[in-house]
Amino acid sequence: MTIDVAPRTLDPLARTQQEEEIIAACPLQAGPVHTTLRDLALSVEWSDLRVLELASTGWAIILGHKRRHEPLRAVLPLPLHTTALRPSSLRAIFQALEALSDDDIPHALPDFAPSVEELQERAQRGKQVSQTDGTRNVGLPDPTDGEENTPPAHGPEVINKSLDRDMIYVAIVTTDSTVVYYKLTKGIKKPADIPDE
Amino acid sequence: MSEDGHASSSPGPSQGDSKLSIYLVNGVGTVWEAQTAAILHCTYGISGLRAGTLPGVSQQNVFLGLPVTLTKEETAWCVINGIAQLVPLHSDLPDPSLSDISSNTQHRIDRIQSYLLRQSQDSARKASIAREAYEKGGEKARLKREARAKAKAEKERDTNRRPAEASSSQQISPTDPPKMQSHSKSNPIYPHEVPSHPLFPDLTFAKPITRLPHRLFPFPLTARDRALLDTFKALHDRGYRIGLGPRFGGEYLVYPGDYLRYHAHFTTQVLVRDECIRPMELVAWGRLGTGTKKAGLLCCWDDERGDEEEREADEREQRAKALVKLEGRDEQEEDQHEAGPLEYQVEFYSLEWANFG
Repeated sequence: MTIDVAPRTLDPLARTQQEEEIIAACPLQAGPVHTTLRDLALSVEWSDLRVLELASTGWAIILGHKRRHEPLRAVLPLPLHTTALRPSSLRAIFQALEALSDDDIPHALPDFAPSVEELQERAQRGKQVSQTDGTRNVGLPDPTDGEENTPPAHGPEVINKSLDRDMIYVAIVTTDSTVVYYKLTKGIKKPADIPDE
Repeated sequence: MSEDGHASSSPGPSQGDSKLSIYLVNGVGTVWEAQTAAILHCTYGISGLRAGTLPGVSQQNVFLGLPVTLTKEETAWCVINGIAQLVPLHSDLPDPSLSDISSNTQHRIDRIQSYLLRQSQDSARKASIAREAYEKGGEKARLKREARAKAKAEKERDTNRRPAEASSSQQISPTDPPKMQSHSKSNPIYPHEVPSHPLFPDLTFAKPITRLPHRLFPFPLTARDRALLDTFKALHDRGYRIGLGPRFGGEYLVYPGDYLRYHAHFTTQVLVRDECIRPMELVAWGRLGTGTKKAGLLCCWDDERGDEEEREADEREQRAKALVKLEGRDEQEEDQHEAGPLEYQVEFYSLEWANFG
C-alpha cells in the first residue's frame, strides 16, 4: 500500500523558523518547546499550532486549537527542574495574554503529519485514478462506497479565532520526554467535575 | 488590594464590653460557651474544630463537643476585626475541689435559668407589642379590616362562582394578630447577650488581649504568618469558609459554604512574596487535587517588601522593646503594640489536571 504524503507537512525532527527564533530568545524553554509542539500536534492532536514569545515576559508559549470550535488556548512549556517560574512570572504571562492582539499572533505552522481525514481523501483520489486507468490500488477503505454523488456529511468547519486569556496549560517536560499538562486558571474557579449545589 | 494593619482598627459588630471571649490556653484560642460557638459559626463563618471528648466513652467521640479550638488565623481574625478578645488562662490549672464543682454547677444552672427567663420575657414582650399595635388603630382600624375582608370574600365569590357566605363569618378573628416587625433591638437570632467577662476570673492572669501580635499570642509575626492571615482574610471576605488543610496536603481547605453542608472545593498553597514555583510541585498539587476531587488554589501573597526591608523592620521593633524596658514602662501594655497599616495583595490561580496527555 502506498500513500502519497504531500510535501506540505513538516519534518517532525527539524526545527521550524518560528521555533528557531523563539529558542534563541528563550533558551530555558528550548527543549520543552520542541517536545511540547510535537506532542500537541502528533499525540494530543491539536491543530493550528504556533509559537511566540510573550512581549516583555521572557517566556515563550504555544497557541493552538484543542478543538477548532473552541478558542485558541495557550500552553506554557516548562522543564521539570526549573526554578525560574514565580508568581511574578504568572502575573506577567496573564497580563501579556490579556494585551495580545490578533496582529501579534503569528500564522499557524504547517502540520507535522497529515490528518486521518486527509489520508482518506487522498486514498479516495488514488482509488478514483486507478479505477480510471484500470490498475488496482489498495488503499484505505472508501467510506462512500455505495453512496455515489452524496454530499459530505458535515458542512465546512467553523474555526473559533478568539483567544482564551484567563486560562493557560502548563506543559511540564521530563527528561524522558514525557509531557504532563496542567490547567492554570486566573482567579478562583471550582473544579469542573463538581456540580453546582 | 490594600488593607488596614493588624490592630483592631474597625469597631466591628461588637463593641467594648460586648466582645466575645476566646480563652487562650497554652497559646491556643478556645471557645467554651455553646452560644459563642454558635455565633462564630453562623454569623461570622468561623467554625474551628470541636475538641471535647470523653476518652473513657469511645462512642461519644464520633461527634466531638466543646471546647472549640480555633486556628491562629481564626483567632487573629476575630481579634483584629473587633469581634472577640483573648482571655489568657493559666496552663497549670489545679483540679477543682468538690465544693468548687458543686458551686460551679449551681452557677451554670442559675445562668441557664436566667437565659431561659430572659428568653420567655423577650417572647412575652414581643407578643405584647404586637397586640398593642393591633389594637392601636381602635374602632376605625377594625372597620377597615372588616371592609377589606368583605371585599376579599366578594372577589373570591366572583372568581369561584360560588354562593357568597355571610360577611360576618369572614371577620378576622381577634385572636389572629397580623404579622408585625420585631421591635427587639438585639439580634433576633440570638435572644440573649453573651457576657464579655470571663466566667471564672480567678483563672486569668492578664488583661484581655485586643491587639495582635502579643507576647502570649505571637501571631502574625513573620512574613509567612502575615501571608497566611491575609490569605485567610481574602478568602473569608469572598464568602468562603476555611478549614484545616494539612491532611489534604495544603494549608487550608476552602469550602463554598458551611462545611457541614459542602465538600471543600480547593486545597490552598500559599506562596510568600516571589518564591519559586517548581513544576514538580505543580504536578504534586495537581495530582493531589485530582485524587481528592478538589482543585489546587495557588495563593500568591506579596507585600512588596524585600528581605532587607523586613530585617530593618524587625531591628526597629527590637530597639523599641529595649527602650520600653529601659524606661520601665508597663511591658504588658507595650506588648500590644500597634502595627502600622500594611499594603499587600493576594492573587489566586486555580490548578487542575488538564485531562489529556
